[in-house]
Amino acid sequence: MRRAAVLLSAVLLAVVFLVACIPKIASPHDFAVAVFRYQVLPYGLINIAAVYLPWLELVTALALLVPGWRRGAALIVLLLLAVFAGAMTFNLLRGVNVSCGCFSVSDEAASSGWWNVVRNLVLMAAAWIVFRAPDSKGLTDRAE
Amino acid sequence: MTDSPNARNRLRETLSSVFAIAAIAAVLGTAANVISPRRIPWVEDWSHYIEARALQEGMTLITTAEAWEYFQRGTHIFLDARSDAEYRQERIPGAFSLPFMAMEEKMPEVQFLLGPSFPIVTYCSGETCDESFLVAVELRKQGMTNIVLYAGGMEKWVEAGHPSERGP
Repeated sequence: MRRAAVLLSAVLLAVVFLVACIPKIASPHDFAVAVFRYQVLPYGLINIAAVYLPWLELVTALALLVPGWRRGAALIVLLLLAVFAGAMTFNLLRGVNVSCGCFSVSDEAASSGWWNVVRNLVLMAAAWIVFRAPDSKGLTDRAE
Repeated sequence: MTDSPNARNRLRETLSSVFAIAAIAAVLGTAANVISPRRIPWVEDWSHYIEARALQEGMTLITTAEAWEYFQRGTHIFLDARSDAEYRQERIPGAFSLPFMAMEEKMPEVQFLLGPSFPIVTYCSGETCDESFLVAVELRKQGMTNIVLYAGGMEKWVEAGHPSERGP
């Protein structure tokens, strides 16, 4: 049962991160604009974030599917989601009205709201399940 | 948590994979941004991004002094492209709310004011927001031809000591 929950969470997170990184990798400039619109990073770091973040999402997504790398990937996912949720909360509280930039880098993407923060928290719970899971040997032992 | 050799091993393995994932992402990101036709500069001056984009679109930008002049003469309609909450908190007196993120719902409330050639000023919070630009682009698509962009926005307006109002 626990093994199924871990696998399901890992696959869910992998799919979410894969879907999220594709438009960003395809249009780095549009993603840089989305980062700029958040108004949280210094100008000198906007393009750096726009170049590396999508690739980190991609490699992390794939690593979630590899048993030996899963915990490390889950830790990265936890940190990324915490940063994203923090940035969204900060903007919602100060009334900055920007689109999430999570799965679309379009100017016209829907505005970020508390729903996005809640979604991130749910995904963080899934990442925590993966992170706290015994290693694959332990899971196998228990399953047997 | 026990500080057993097992726990230490797990921690070491976890951190190793974190660094390995970050390193692979760094190599791929660097390679992609070197060879991709869609590469972007590593560092860019974003401080005048909105103005640059507006000029590319052939839009007219106005200064705070010009915005003040239009305000005093009453020749232009001011459209506030920020969220409703920001609009209610503080705005240029007499401005109408047209948040970019809720344009479809809000448009009917202001459409009757906006003739095709009626002079319009759009603004948002300041030089780092682009809702005023996006609203201006959208209005141009709808056939309005006389739109100017006040990129300094609320921030520069207040900084210059001009009046503001609040409330619904």
